[in-house]
Amino acid sequence: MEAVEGLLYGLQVAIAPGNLLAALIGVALGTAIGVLPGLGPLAGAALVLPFTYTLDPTAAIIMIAGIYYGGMYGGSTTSVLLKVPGETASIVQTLDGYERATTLGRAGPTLFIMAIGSAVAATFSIVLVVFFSPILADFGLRFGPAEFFAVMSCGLVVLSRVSGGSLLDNMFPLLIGILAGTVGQEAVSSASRFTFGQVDLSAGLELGAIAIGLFGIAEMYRLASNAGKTPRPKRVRLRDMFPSREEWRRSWAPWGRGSVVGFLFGLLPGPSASLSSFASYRLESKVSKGRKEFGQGAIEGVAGPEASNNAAATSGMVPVLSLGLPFSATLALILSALMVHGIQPGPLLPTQNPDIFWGVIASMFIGNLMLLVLNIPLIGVWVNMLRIPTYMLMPVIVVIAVVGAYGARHYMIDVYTLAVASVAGYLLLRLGFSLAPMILGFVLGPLIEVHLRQGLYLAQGDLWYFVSSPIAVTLYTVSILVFLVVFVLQQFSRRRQKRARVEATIDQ
Amino acid sequence: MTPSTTDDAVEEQSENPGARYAWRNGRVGAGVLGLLITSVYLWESRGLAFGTLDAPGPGLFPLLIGLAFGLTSLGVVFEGIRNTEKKELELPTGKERRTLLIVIAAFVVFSLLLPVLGFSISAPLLLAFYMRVIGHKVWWKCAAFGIVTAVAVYVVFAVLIEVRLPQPMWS
Repeated sequence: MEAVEGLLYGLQVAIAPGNLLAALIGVALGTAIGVLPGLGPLAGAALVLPFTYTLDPTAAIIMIAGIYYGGMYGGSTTSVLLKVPGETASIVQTLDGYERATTLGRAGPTLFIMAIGSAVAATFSIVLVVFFSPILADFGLRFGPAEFFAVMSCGLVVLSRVSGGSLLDNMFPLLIGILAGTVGQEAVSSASRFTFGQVDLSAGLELGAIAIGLFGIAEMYRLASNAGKTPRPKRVRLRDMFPSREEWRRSWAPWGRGSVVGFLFGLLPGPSASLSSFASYRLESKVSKGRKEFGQGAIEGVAGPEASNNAAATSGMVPVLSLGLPFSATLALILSALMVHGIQPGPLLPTQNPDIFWGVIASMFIGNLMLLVLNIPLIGVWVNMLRIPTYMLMPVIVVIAVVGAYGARHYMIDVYTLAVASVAGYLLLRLGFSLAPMILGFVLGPLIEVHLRQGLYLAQGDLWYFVSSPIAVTLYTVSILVFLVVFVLQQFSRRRQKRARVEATIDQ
Repeated sequence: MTPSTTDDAVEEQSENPGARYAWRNGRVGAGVLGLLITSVYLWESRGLAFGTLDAPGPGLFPLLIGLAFGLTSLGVVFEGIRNTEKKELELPTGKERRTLLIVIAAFVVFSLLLPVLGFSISAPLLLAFYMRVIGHKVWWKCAAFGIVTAVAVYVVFAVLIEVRLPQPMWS
């Protein structure tokens, strides 16, 4: 199917009443979850994941994708109003966004510019995705076990290197995730592994329970122990929302640059939405007209990053849909939702399941328009959600999480998994470990094993097979390069810090 | 977290030997726990066939991953002991710590009670208890909140979207 033809077909699928409703529920829940303290798009997608198992697969993926980009937007709202980023991609919005809302008193117009910027960026990104995905899927048809093994293992290793923190901060949770992924019957010979005689464990651990525990409940524990400290936002009225002519004028270029930066980052492994928002902020602080106002409430510092994190969230769907490769934990949830429905994402998806492939892409376009409609007139509603006291919010989220964890398969073991994951998540985060690699390891680990074993079968045990194709060799080379570059950069920054510390001591 | 925020956090931290000690103990503890998990994991995988390179069995991948995790855990222990970046672990203290421990313990007890008492009894109990511990509201308000919220959750999930909820043992 040609790209334009595919998109038109996708639009037909996306405007079917059930899918339209799924998109609406997705973006509305996503915004709400993004706004609520402590919950980001990942926790939101995890909370909803178990409930989508009974839905039609297209509607299920449309809903989870809606939560993903809805959550991105909601997270930025709290950054601007409260200086509390809903998730990492919204951290930069606390810099100039919060300054604009407080010192300059321009909270409304800032949110407006962000909403329009998100929609512009998503639209731009979707247009590129439409043309890019089929090409990538065609390319993916050349992939055999060696290439898939290379791209998945390199993806995970590169991710551990670019996500921040030390290598061990990422490898430790990553391997816990892969370990957890081996529990249950394995895919090739159906042998039971690590079930300790528990029948319920043969089907493996439940991803939803792990993700909700790590990202939802663990955050609720933190919130409960800090209850009463959440600042109260000011009311934002609709009539105060419209940007001035100057604000409009200054936002166009950052939207454009942010969209391009975000789209490119979304295609790469790593926490692309957050990295792209940082990259866009840096870019704007160097090239934009208002660069002198950076840190004091420059509109460019809000418009650029917001556009880029939305563009990245959209283009991140490309590797998931056309290669079956998720590069962030939320995308891993989307991949696993597809697999639960018996759909194998990958190069054959556009031809075998055009409904899902094109329907989901088209729904992102519609979902972003919905987001615009939901966010501008209803901003007051979202802001009011911030006023829900912790002692009511936290217990409700916990109970819904339990309902979700149990409801997916009706195993009590999933509720216990939730409890263990929540405590582990709280402690690991405090100890400086990153949690997202755990989810990626859990989802990708079993796939890596399948490709490894298939590759060995095919090559009759010849290990050279894994480095025999040009694609695999390129991937390994790029990964090694990333390792070296990050290492050199770290040495530089460490030396610089040391020098600064020495100079500071001399000055004293 | 991005590299820049981590660096900022390191620079902003004050000299606090207690917190640094806590960080070291925490990281070493995590690494030791990782080693324990590795041992159990490798012990459990001993019954799985490794197969041969041209026909790998179900035991091959767990062996590789188990060994990798063991090495990583060792790395975490050593990195923790050295703590060259002088990182610190701030855990909640006093009242906050008490609340945190009660909240976690309550959740564990709740998940154990769930198969015995079912959703309709355990959920209102947990909701009311949490409101009491976190919000310090009077008992009748907590009870009302527990019952009303549990009914609302039941209606939305069990009735409207037909999710099956845990039933009490006697049903």
